[in-house]
Amino acid sequence: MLISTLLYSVLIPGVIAFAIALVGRRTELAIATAIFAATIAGSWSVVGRPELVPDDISRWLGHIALLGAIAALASSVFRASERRVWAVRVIAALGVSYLVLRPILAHRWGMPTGLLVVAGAAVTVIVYGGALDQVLRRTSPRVGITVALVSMATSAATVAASGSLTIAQIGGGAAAGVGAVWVLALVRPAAAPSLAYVLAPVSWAVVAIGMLYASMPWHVAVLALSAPLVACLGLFAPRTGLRAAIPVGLALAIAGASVRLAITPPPVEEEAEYGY
Amino acid sequence: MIKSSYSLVLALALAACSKDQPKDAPKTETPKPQTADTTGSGSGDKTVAPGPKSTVGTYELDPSHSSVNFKIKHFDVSYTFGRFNKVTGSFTIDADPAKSKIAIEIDPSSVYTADKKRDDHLKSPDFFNVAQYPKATFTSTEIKAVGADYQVTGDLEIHGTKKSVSTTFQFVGSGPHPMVPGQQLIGFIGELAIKRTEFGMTNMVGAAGDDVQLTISIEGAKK
Repeated sequence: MLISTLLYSVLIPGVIAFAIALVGRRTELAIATAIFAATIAGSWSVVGRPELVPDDISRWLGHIALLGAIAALASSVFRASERRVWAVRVIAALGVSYLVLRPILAHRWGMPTGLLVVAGAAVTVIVYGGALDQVLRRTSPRVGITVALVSMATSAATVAASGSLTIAQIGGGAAAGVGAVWVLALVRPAAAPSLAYVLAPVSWAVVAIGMLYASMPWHVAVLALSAPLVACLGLFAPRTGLRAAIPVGLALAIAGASVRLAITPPPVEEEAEYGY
Repeated sequence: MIKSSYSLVLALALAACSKDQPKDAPKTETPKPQTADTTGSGSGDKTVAPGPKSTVGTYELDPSHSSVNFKIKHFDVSYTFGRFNKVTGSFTIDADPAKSKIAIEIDPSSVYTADKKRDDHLKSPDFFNVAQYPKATFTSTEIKAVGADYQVTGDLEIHGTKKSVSTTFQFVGSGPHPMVPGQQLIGFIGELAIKRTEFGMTNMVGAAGDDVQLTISIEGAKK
């Protein structure tokens, strides 16, 4: 039963994303839509039909993907103006961090501290998305999309090891969407810069939910989110035959370290003292 | 020979001590608590029932001796048991049962099933989502006396979803605390069957059953 659930949450989103990206001729809009659709399909297969304003945090990943898709569309419209593109990024990052933090803002931090937490979280979304964007733009399509796939899969795998299969499966759906784009890129490479706009919010949200709502330790979260940042280091490598593989190798190393750290059992807590 | 001499001296010393005790010294005998039989359905014969005069009052729940326990099916083949270790609240027993009330607050993050990994999973958004829903509550809306027990209808809120439920709180026992002079204790136990999906916990229903049997065991100390 669990295996079939996993297959549904990965296979169906993958097939949907593949069809959308293929029919849409892998335009920026088609790829953004493909990832959004994969996330929605993954979410639908795990937590049921999407709702307009759901209560539980696990039902908001589809909305976050939609926000990312809208940001991708807006940035392609405002492509000529760097300032407007940045404005879109900032608004999208603030929106994503607010959606993830909203259910616990009041009772965990209160106001106005909560707003500062949202702003701080938004900065990490921008950094994560920016790193992914740089890898996608400054490497070959195959390398860039592979790093994106590794980053998303790392987020899903670490949250699975940290106690939330629901969030992990929805993240797996999004990863399947990237996987479909990756397969297409293998056959006929084409740049997919818009991928970062949709994937970064979803991938970041998966890890953030794992840390804030499940039992993912903060250092695992930081390591998991560092995958595209560390991959960026490969951009500074000297131009040799191996240069293309370095970002992928670095991202894979971070992925392995994150999952390894996530599955390491925590230290045993001491029992509380007994009293009458 | 030496051993028997020591025994004789010890016996004489003890006898002397008992004679020295003043006649008006307070009794140190541990009082026996009143108890109910636990074999019946809850309204059967009680050896001693808590009369209104002796038990009327407001009680604070003793978190160390109160718990909410649950059992749930695993893959439809066996039962897994667990409990919430942090339970707080209070209840009032009034001479008029209709005026009695109970309010219990459960900390879902105190869930304990003797498996740290499973406890962490239960706290995650897959089940209780304790970060988003940091407390569960039971608040009475109607109470009727049934013999020594109480038929309680109330609002049970778990995972942010509130539902009206009914249970019989069976009287377990009452009496003075043997170690805290002047403190009056009373205990009840109630059982309740719920469906977790009705409270929005819809994930992994095949692995962990939908039907959950709750046992609410409370001990209160009179304020």
